[in-house]
Amino acid sequence: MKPLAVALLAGVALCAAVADGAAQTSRFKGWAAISKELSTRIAPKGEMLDLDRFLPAADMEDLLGRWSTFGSEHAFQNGLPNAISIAIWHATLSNFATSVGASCSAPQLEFHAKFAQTLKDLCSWPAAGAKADALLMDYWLAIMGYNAPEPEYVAWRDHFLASYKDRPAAETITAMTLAITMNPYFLLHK
Amino acid sequence: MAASQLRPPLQTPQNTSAPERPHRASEVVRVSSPAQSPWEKRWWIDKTAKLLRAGEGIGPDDDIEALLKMSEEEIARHFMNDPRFGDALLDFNMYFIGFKADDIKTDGAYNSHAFDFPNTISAAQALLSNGDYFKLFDLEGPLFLAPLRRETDPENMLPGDAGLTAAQLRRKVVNELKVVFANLGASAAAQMSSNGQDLCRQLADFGARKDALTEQVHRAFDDAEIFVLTRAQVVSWPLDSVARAAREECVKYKPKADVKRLAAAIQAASEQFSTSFEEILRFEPEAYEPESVLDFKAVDLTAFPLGGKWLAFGYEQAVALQNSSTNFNRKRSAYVLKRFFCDDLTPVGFEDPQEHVAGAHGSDTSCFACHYKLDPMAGFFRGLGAQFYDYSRERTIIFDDLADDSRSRYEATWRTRKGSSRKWNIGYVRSPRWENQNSYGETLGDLSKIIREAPEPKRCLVKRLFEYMTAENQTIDGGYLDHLTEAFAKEAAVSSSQAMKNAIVRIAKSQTYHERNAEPQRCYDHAPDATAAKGPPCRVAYILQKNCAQCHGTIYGGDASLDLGAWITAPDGKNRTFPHLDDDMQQRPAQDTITRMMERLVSTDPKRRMPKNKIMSSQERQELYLWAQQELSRIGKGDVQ
Repeated sequence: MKPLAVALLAGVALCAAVADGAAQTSRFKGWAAISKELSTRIAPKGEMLDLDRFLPAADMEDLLGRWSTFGSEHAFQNGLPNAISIAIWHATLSNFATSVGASCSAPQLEFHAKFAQTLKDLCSWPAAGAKADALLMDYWLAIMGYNAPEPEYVAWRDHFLASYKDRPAAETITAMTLAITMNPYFLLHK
Repeated sequence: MAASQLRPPLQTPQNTSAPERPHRASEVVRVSSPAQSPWEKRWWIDKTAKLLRAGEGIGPDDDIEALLKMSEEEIARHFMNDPRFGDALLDFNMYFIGFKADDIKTDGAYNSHAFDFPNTISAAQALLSNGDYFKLFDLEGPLFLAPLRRETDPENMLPGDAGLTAAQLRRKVVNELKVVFANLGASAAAQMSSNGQDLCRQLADFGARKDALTEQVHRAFDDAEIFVLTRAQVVSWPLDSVARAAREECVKYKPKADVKRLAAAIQAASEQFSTSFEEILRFEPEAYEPESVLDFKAVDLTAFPLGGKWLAFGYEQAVALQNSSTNFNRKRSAYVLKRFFCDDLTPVGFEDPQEHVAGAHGSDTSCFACHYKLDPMAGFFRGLGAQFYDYSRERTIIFDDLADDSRSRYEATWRTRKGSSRKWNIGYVRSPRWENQNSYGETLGDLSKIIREAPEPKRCLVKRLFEYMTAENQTIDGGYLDHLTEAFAKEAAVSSSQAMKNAIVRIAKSQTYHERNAEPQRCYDHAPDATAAKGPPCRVAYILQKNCAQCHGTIYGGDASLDLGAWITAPDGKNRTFPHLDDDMQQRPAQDTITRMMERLVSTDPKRRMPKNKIMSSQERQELYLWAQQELSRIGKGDVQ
């Protein structure tokens, strides 16, 4: 399945999740929280990744869920997934995923040494070594953390082992990264 | 869509599970209760790390294997010893007061709004050093200034300021005013033996330039800093004190001004100005860049003209909680009730007051449902005008809408009638009928004391902590909340810091916190003595049990034939309702029962109002009423439970 299709399905599921769950438990974490989570997992210790450059336009993070609204009591704004916010998330995370995929040939971001090594190993895709469960899980955990239950990892891994088995590394890693970051367990407040 | 929904999950391969990776679900090791797989425990650890380390979850430098061997309580306390816990606390405190930010740091440096709410900082610092966490409830205390701004604002710079750094510009504007004072002082010294008329002319010119001189100083500071300068009267006090002396000495009927007195006033103003700015310039970012909440430095308020305590309402609150000549501080009052008492002011009626008050808000029942508690709370702010500026020493008060009024006339709003034992009708009013239920006071210090001592704010704090740790709209069983609050209050009597840490641990160990995808309407935790039930929905079950079940615990007793402790299928077969019989001993429809309950909740007639002859907290009355309202709406729309 192509990344766009995965993302579209993810978008539909996000909106559906809202309808089912109603309110807070199905709200986006917001751009600030996501940036911090990703930085904690894959950036050098104590540093923040410059993720704002992946936003389609300045100040668009306001539409991805935020607390800060100067001049009135703060409530979490724009947290409920809708067509616009999902399009922005998709565009932003596609840019991020493409950047990670492109890092196989030339580093695009400053990564933590451990993640850099994991990525380097994965960049040998479609070689057999890159398809080892241990490596795929390392990559999954590096991006997703422990947000998602185990079946999520299994489904993700098996999808890429089947559908991307002969694809080039950059394309595969881009798609893998986008699939993780568009996963509701990654994006939504739980 | 979650990845697992793309296609059915396949069997997990057996190969290559390195020791540092999560064990599979089949390898469950029970480390603590409730039982979890190692994968789930890793999720709990990551979630707790994010919570207690200000958003920073488990990273590649964390030893997850070591954490896995610890109990949940040990893990939570381990994270509470992390330096980032201070940031997490500050974030929660800001959430509690309604001003949570997305991030309190950018690129490792604290954002200026992290310094804006002094009570949140004091409380966080206190908790980190096992001090008095209830400083969170103090509405007066220290002032924490953010590092002064690093960038200049080109729009406010004068031609001669070009090329100056922000720090250089600050020193320049301070020196400019010092020079003005020095020149006046020199003139005064030169005219000691004269009649002082030349000095008076100079002072008249100085007085006329007061606003321009103030603006001249302000051009080196941003809005939040100017807010501090203004409230502390750092610029206005020296200027006003000289102008006041000049007004008194330089008058036509005095052929000779007292130059010595004028010189002393100029000298005192100059010294006060210098002392204040020496203190402020201690916050230059080159010298002051806190790395943790404990490093936040309080201003020495004795260096400022007024000294004393600093009002805890900061710059953003001054913008958000504006008053006007007509709202009589009700916005500020509603804020305190909402944030410190968890009272959202849902208008659900009130006890008929023994003494009626005047005006529409006192006689219109729907208005009075809120105003009986809103207006007395607003009185604590009676001396504070625009931007919380203290006008209590002045004859006129100016509001945020720039209207003004005689302060004594304005304050008369809160004076009690003749014959009352109190001077002011100011306080936290639980019941307009039973004054002994209320907590009265006069000053913000009194309000802080009420918040510290009343049971409602502690319950509110625990409720907000539960929301913060789980989800804002997650339903909490009232009995469980009271259970948590009781433990918290008991421990807080010894140490509020330890009590807070223990409360965090308790909630982190709760079933709700362990739910990956909790249903907002469901209660996952109950008080230890709760009977598992097929009872009413958990949102209101405890409220009903506490306030109503004594008289309405069975259909076979009392006048109402109503059992508010049970929850049965309604006659329509679709909805559920309380057992409630009509005169023919037939079960009433759900809609009928709920409507009757709502009528009894909002009635002002003591004979009809429920619970009869008993105080029910307005928070619980509101919760029950809102639930009933939603229940009626749901039944009306035909939604099935």
